[in-house]
Amino acid sequence: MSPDIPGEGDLWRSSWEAAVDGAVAVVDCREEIPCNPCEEACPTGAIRVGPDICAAPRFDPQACNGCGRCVALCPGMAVFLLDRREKSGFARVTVPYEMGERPVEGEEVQVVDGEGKALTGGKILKIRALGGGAPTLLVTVRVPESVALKVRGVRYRLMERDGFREVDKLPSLADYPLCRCEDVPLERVRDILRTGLKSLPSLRRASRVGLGYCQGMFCQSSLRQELAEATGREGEEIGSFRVRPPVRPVKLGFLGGGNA
Amino acid sequence: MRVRGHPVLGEPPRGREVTIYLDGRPLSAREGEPVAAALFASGIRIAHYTGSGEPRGPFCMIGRCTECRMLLEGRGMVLTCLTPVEEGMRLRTPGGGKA
Ligand code: SF4
Ligand code: SF4
Ligand code: FES
Repeated sequence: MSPDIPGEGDLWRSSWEAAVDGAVAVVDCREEIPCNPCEEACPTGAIRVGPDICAAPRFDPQACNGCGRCVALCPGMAVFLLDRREKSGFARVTVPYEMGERPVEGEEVQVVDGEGKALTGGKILKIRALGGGAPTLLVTVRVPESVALKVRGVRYRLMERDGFREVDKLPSLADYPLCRCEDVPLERVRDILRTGLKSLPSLRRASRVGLGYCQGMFCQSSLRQELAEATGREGEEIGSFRVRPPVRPVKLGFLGGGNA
Repeated sequence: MRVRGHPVLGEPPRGREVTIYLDGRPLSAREGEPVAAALFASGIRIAHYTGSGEPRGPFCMIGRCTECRMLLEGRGMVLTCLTPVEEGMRLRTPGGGKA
């Protein structure tokens, strides 16, 4: 067992360690979104979301048999398989593949991280489809262990065909709409923070971030992060907006039994 | 534009062709498809305008971001990504001096 886990490995220590015996899932799903196909996909109960459909999935590598159903069925492509049984400094990583052009076993491809940045080259060992309503292909590539936990996809031939296009200019961060519903740019939030305001509820009222249609579902984490940075506090001390059911905005008339 | 022969989703189900209205203008749509999809198919990407006049359109497509909201006559504000097309629906684009 290697004590050195590359990159953000600590998050996935249990998967990393279990992978020495064969393929095991690595669940990179951290956002609390209303989603649970991984739980339904898993035949062994290794992934559980539970009754709160917005909870992030919990994963038990001991229960995982490496079948890959979760990889194929997660709509967010947030799960992959890691297999370190070779113990040769190389690992096998299995990622979902949903592009039109079908890759070919044995070929060298570029593997990319979650932002689409090229990590290294890797050889395609295996391509399979699970069938049964899961047309997503599972592509297994062999890559150095040092990048294994960063791989989120393969870039197939695109490099030769199109070359890379860089985004030359991003819009300025200050104008970035931190809250899209209420149209509040990041800079406005920072201005308010400079006045010395320290609590989340007052920041919310002063900026209107989180008071719009999405009820804070999109902007809350950004707002908390800004507050944490401005005050040097941890997320837990800051707390969060009060979360009330239902998950999605619902009309009062509907709750009252009407038709909305 | 509608996506044809998607590598994962295949062909879209074809609902009956119906007419819906956007700010009074008739558009063709397929019954049962999300309103947001019908508008996209007609080249309409703006669902509403913010207070400062910025255009906003569908983003998450799972009823979470509320960017796709529009006014539906008789029902008020709806999330178009979650609202299936029905014959004769009348939609309005909020903001932008229109509603
Ligand atoms: S690989 Fe198979 S057994 Fe493991 S978590 Fe995914 S679905 Fe469950
Ligand atoms: S299916 Fe994927 S995105 Fe959805 S909760 Fe499971 S891991 Fe996360
Ligand atoms: S597109 Fe996000 S709620 Fe409809």
